[in-house]
Amino acid sequence: MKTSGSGILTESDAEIIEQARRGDPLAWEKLVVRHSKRIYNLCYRFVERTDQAEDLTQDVFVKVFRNLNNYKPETGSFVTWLMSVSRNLLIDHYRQSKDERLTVSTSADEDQEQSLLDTLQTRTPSPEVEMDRLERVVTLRKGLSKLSPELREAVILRDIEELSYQEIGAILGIPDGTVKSRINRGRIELARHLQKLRPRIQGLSI
Amino acid sequence: MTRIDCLDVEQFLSDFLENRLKEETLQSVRIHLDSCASCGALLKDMKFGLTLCRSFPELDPPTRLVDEILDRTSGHYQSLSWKEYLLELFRPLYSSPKFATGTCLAAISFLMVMNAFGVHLTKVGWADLSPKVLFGNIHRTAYLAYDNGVRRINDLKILYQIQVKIDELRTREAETTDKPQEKPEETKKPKETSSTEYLVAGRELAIPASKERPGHRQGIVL
Repeated sequence: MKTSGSGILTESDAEIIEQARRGDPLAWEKLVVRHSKRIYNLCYRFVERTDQAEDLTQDVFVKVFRNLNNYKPETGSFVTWLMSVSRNLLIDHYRQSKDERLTVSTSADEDQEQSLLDTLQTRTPSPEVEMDRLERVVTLRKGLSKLSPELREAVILRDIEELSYQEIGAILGIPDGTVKSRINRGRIELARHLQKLRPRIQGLSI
Repeated sequence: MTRIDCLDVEQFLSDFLENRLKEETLQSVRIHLDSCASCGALLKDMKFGLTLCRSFPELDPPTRLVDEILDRTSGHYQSLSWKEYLLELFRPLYSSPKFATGTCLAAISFLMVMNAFGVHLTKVGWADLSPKVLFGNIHRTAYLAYDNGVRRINDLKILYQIQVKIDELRTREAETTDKPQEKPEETKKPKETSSTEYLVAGRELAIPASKERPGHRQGIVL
């Protein structure tokens, strides 16, 4: 048990998993509630579509539920394992939808921008701030979509999820040196794509 | 302090952004960045990319998401059945067409190699899989292939000889058909005797043909 900032005792993931393994549905529900937002956002950053991110998040948790016995706390944190499962599903999804993505029209992108704008606008009232925010998100999404999946996942895990090199290495199953080199190459490629998008981003503050 | 070029600097840019460089390398990178406009611009764009990533908003998932996950995972925790386990095991096969194609091609190649070694997988039995039988099959197939090859080469040799003979006969036949005009000239030639004529001391001697010895030239003047 850990004590949170508000002084309330919170159970660790390992304790909840142990209860879920014994068949406690409430424990499983706690795990889903605790981690679904993070996995949903991770999926969204890869697939860039809210509907697909939702489906993939469900698939991740179904897979985790079925493989709960395979998780061993001594090999790493539950979050790392969860993200590793998500990453494998995302790579499978990327391969399956490769051909589909090549034929996606720009109108689909515009629809996504609109749905993203709707999602963001429900949270803050200022339209100027939201437009600037949307512009940033769209620019970053366009830049990230130009990267290969290996570089994209490295950049997302490091710069958006803000994981350590060791955690990224555990999720991707690669040595720390490779993680470092992929992050560097990913950031450089992203920067070069952002250079090309410069007319669009001129108005954005760095 | 060592001077470094643009390619070297690119390797250090991420570490430079995260303040992970050792003092000496840091100074070299700084000097290069001060003097190189393109690397300076690249670093600026990398910083911008990093800022965008760090400020990437976190979306709230739809409220129904948790309920849908719980619906799909309702009931007590249960491990995978053997069918699900097999499906999970072979998932890369049916989820990635490229991988599936590669596996099929590998399987076809394997079948062809086994077939060449005399193991027919449609009729394979446990006994066929013993190393002795496998080795015997390989040996037998190799011997048959060698034997077949030698036989074919010999056949080719015979065919070549027959062809040469046929060509010779054809050329001879062609020569004989081209020479009928020379016949009258041949009649003017002195009639050949059945014996070889030798000129000995200016006199002609007739020696019977039976006494002719090989190596003696006709018409030798002594």
